[in-house]
Amino acid sequence: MALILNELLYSDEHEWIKKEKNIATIGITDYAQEQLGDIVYVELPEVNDDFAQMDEIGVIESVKTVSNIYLPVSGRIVEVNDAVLEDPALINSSPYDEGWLVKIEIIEEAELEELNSAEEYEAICGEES
Amino acid sequence: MHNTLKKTSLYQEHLNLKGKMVDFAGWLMPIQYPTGIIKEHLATRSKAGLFDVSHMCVLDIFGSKALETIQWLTVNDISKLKDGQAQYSMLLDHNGDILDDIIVSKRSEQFRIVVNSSNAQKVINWINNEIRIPKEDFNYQVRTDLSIIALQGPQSLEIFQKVTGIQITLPPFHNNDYSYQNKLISISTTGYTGEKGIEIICPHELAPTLWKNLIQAGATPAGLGARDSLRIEAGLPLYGHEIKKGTTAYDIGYGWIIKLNKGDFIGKQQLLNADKSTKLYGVKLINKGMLREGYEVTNLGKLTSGTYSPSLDKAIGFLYTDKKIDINTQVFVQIRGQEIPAIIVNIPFITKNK
Repeated sequence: MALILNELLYSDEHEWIKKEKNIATIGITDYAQEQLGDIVYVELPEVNDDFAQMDEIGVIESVKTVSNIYLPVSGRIVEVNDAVLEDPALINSSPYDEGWLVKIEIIEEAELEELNSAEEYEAICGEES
Repeated sequence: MHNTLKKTSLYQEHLNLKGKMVDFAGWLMPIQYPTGIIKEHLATRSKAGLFDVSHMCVLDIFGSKALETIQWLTVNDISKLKDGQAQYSMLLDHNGDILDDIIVSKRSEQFRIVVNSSNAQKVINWINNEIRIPKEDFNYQVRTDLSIIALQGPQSLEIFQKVTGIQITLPPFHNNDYSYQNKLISISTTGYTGEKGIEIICPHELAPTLWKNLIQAGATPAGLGARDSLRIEAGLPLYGHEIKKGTTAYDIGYGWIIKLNKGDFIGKQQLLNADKSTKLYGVKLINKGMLREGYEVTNLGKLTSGTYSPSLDKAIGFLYTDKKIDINTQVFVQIRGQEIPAIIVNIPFITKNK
């Protein structure tokens, strides 16, 4: 069973988001990395790029398939995880920690309310599998 | 939805190993185990990988006219095959299009043909329609009673011997029958990974025990995902990708299997007139990235296969074009609207000590 952390919020597209003050860290979930299998390539945006909620901000390629990364809430990119660009397998081995993707400055706090709680996200994964 | 899919004798073993099961040509097969495609691939290169390939179709062909009929049906020359020898060959239709690529083995009084699972019914229908010879002179049996396990990698023969006590000393592309647990198993020194290894053809009831014991002895179970990346690294074509309507063995670097001087065979006239300017090339991305089937190489053509090569830590693919290109030429692959630099390389992508 894939790991789902209580303290995070989740998009329907399997991104997680962790808010600390006005900065949020974003990655993909353990369920998502399990479905993708071995990840071999990641494309991420540049720092200072602005995106609206659920914009495509990058691409994850596994041996089996390609998947878009969506931004769960609107924001400006403030940091990109260079370590996953260099070693994309970090997303497989540590999706919630070393495998984070980007940090953003949140523009509209209210958008967070549209995201799923851990419990709601668990139900989404349950329907898919 | 899985109800109509066929299951091999090792289905329960795949479930026990938590294999991710997918529909492959009507068979429910593992694409990978929790180990993951990359580790399964690398285990095959460094030690030994274990593959269930029972979905492939085994046809035993016999009768006094078996030899001349197979000569008529296939492009390679079986008249020189000695007992226990095998050869790569193809079945063509009357337009010269490839119906399937196959392995033909000579087994004393009969021939054995191993056919791709996706083409099995087509090939059987083809033989039934094309060959009108009384059954006493030409007949075949579809061996639905047999499982096939591929054990591939530098340590495959040691692992096999540890489990069965049988020492295999056959050169590549040979086969022989052995007795194991009072049953006959056929060992063939063939494979689809570019590694030293064997394919074990055995009665279904032996397969699960053999499978478990080979894993116990050090072989890593590997799925269709690793099988694909291994065959691409090794430069081996796949039906439906490199081999499809309009291609010939010449196009994919296998012109040597076509024996125009052996006598007449189906598709020979078309091959005599075939354009031989098309060649299969290797493409390797210079930087990080991924290559997939269908990607356009600017001004040259489309990739017929693409993957991530765990051995090279690079994305690799096959390009098949009639334009002449030199090895080491820089080209551009169109990926998501961008031109990504790559180079043309020799295939196979890796060289191995067989």
